[in-house]
Amino acid sequence: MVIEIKELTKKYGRKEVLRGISLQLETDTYGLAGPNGAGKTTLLRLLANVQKPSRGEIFFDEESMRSGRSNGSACLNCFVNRNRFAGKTVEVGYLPQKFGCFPELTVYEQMKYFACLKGVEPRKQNGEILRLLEAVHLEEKAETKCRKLSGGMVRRLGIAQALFGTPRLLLLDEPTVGLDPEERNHFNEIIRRLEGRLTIVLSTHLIEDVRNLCGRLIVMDSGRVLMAGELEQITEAARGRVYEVTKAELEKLEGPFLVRNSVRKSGTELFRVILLGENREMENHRPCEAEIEDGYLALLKGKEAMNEKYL
Amino acid sequence: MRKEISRYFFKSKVYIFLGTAFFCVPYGFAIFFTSLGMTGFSLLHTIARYNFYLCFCLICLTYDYVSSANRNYVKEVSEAYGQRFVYERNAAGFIIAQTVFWNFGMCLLLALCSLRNDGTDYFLAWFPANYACNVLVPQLICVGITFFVSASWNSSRWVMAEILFLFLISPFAEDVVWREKPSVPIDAVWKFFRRPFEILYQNGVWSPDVQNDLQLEGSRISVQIFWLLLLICVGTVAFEKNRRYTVLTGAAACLCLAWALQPGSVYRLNESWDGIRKDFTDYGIYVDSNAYQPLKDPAFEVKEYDLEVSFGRQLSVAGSMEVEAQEACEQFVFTLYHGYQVKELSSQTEGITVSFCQDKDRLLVKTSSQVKKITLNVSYQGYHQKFYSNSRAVMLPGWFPWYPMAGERQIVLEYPEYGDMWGYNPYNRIPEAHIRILSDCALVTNLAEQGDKIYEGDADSITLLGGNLAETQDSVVMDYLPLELYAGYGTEEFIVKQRQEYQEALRKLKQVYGVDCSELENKRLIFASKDMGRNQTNNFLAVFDQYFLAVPNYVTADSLLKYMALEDCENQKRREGSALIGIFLMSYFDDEPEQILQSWRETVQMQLQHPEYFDCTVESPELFLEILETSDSQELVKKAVHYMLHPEEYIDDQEFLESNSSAS
Repeated sequence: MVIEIKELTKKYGRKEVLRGISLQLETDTYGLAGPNGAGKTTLLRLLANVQKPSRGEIFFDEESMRSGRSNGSACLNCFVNRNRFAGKTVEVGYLPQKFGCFPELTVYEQMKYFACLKGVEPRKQNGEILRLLEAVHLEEKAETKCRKLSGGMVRRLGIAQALFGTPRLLLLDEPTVGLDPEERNHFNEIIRRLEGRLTIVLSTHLIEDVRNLCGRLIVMDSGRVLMAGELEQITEAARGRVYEVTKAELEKLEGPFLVRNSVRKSGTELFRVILLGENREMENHRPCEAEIEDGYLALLKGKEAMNEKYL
Repeated sequence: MRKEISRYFFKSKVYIFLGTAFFCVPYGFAIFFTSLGMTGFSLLHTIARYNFYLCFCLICLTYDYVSSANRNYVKEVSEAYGQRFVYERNAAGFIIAQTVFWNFGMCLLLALCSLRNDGTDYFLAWFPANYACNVLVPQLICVGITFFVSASWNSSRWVMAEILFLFLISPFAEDVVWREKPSVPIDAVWKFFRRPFEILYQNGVWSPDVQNDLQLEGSRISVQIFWLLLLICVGTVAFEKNRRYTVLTGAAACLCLAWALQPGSVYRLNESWDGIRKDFTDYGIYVDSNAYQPLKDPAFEVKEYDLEVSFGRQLSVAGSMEVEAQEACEQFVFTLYHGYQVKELSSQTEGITVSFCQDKDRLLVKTSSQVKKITLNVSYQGYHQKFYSNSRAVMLPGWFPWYPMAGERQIVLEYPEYGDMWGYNPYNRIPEAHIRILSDCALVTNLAEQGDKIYEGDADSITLLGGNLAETQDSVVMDYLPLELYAGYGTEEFIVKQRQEYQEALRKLKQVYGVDCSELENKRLIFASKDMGRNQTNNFLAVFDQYFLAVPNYVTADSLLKYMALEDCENQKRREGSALIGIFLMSYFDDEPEQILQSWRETVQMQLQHPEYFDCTVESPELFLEILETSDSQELVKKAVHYMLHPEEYIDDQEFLESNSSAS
């Protein structure tokens, strides 16, 4: 499935939270990264049709989501209403940033509610619910009331509901927030099993998640896409600019730069810096191997200095 | 889906508690009051009075339940799956089903109550509209509004608006009235602002007017239609229906609101200066003395009235009057209550033109030349705050100038003999005229029905009554108020009782009090609701040439004696100056003479102990007490009544006492 986003703009009053975003998403796992307020959640909400764009359009396999208008051929009915289009069901799995459940229902009942929302046939509901609860390791909690679940368990329940049916587009807004390392690993497993079968867009603050799960990364800031591409391409943004320097060298460093972290090697504290701006390099130093985090940070912090070629 | 949503309701303790309270408390009270013998109408009135609290309960329940998906972060998922408002719709549907079920149960209870306790089978005539307007529709409006508030993404922001709405429909907002006219017309602004929120029964602190029933005037119904249309309009926006429907329903809602804001006759027993107290503000009763003045005989009479009356939002009258003067003149002064605006007044008599000027209650008609006889065409429209006249009910007593009365009349009076209280003047009469009334609704009048809604006859007044009244076939009691009757006191019992009371009153007047009541005999009794006189000194009874206009159970010797005493305005000053008459007027003349004497004895003793409590005390209390001890009670009461009615026959109290002392 190809999702084409054209000039997508979203305004809340006078505030423009998305500024003419254009993207093309294919069957792959996309990481959506950016600082708070970058517009990640809004983009996901627009993709999930929870909100409507102020301007621009989203096409699913060339079919317009907003007006039901075809990008090329026939004029069609509204795409998202029950996600039906031209007789086939295009299912979306969506885990919002704030996900919750009715506190008085049991996990099973809550899943049944989501199954009904998703239009899962009644005779298939029981099997699907058990399968998904098993997949997120909540099968033992099936009869537990939702109000007794921990934050992590609720998150897992959210992931389970997003996987109902056979979604072709899975939108996950910060899915690993609140998960402990074991749960996170398990989540990674679930996503990996889905890879290659559907389009997954995963909004996150954690580049580690991106590295583990995503083939591509979309970096956003202030309602704009700074860069979208494979992880290698993102890393490329910092290649030749990453150095490890001592404190004394750091103090002498001129021009714009960014300290990512510090490590202790052979008793000396070394600072990992990323040089920002055009054609920067340090004399007498060999640049380190750039990582995806370096590329991400270089994009974010050096967007003005890094020129438009990445935009 | 529906099953899951309703399961959520039944699993929540809060909802179960609120839901159970919503059912059990009102049902429990309904059953309790039914067992006590309350009539169906009184029970409905009680429910209507407390409907605000039921609506409050429903609003809380609806808000919490419907906004649950939003508050628990389930709504976003549902939107993403193309199921817009699916939870909210189902939850509201569940609440509405529950509300309808509640109402069905309450209707059954009311029907049972009515069957068990009512004195007539009038139930179906009054029940459906009164119930729908006062219980069901306000509840549905509250649920509807709460649905949209709680279904919105910003429900917590909108909830402030809902709290404001709740306040504005509440009895607390209803009680915000200005007893005195404010210098800045803030009250008018408040009234205008609050009118759209009058969806519930207004003024729940008073018992209802059984003739008018529970406020089903057009303006109130159009307020309710306004809200229903507004909800549909908002619904078309929320559910993205055709814009045409939005525009149509929005425009219709605005029209209903505009209609509701038009002035009209509604009867609301609140304490506002321009509400039930309007006349007392207008006539300056608290500022100047407005004691009874004898009517200066006008130099002309209206010989014939031919009026067409219609009752919509207010009273509309159009017709003609045949005026005859003793001597040719060119000015005719009438009295017409200032709430009725004369729209047109012209002459039917050839060669004569007329002009008119309406100044407060005074309607001055000037002719182009002196005439002895003239026929005037007149049309006017308006309403009075208390004496209502709308499509639901009519209360236009014959003594009230809702029709042009010849001469200048007083409409509101101060009655010093009753301790500086006030009331409407029930002594206004017209010289006997031939009257013909054509109405657009069935009425009870002092005139004979000559055809379909045509009433005609010769009379000294025009009394028009309508609403929850029923005519009888009895030769004396003309009508009754079915909503006042109860089990064991049906129509027959009512007629028998009123006839007996009338006969008993006449007997007492003659035999016990020695009053000549030849002018009170052989009259018919027309009954109106208690609201004809409520809050007033008198007005519960008026005697006309052919009939008594009275409130049920007020055709008594006591009422008649006081009515007669006050009617005699010639001797009003004498009565005011007499401490004894003051005591006599405070008596209850339906008691036995011995009891009456006892009440006088107690009053005099009180005057002796606490003279500071009284404006005027008996000059010779010892002598009076001695007379009370030594005289024959029946004889003394008879003499006292005679003194009360004819104070001119004694110089003062002393003479009365001396003439009755044992020594004399």
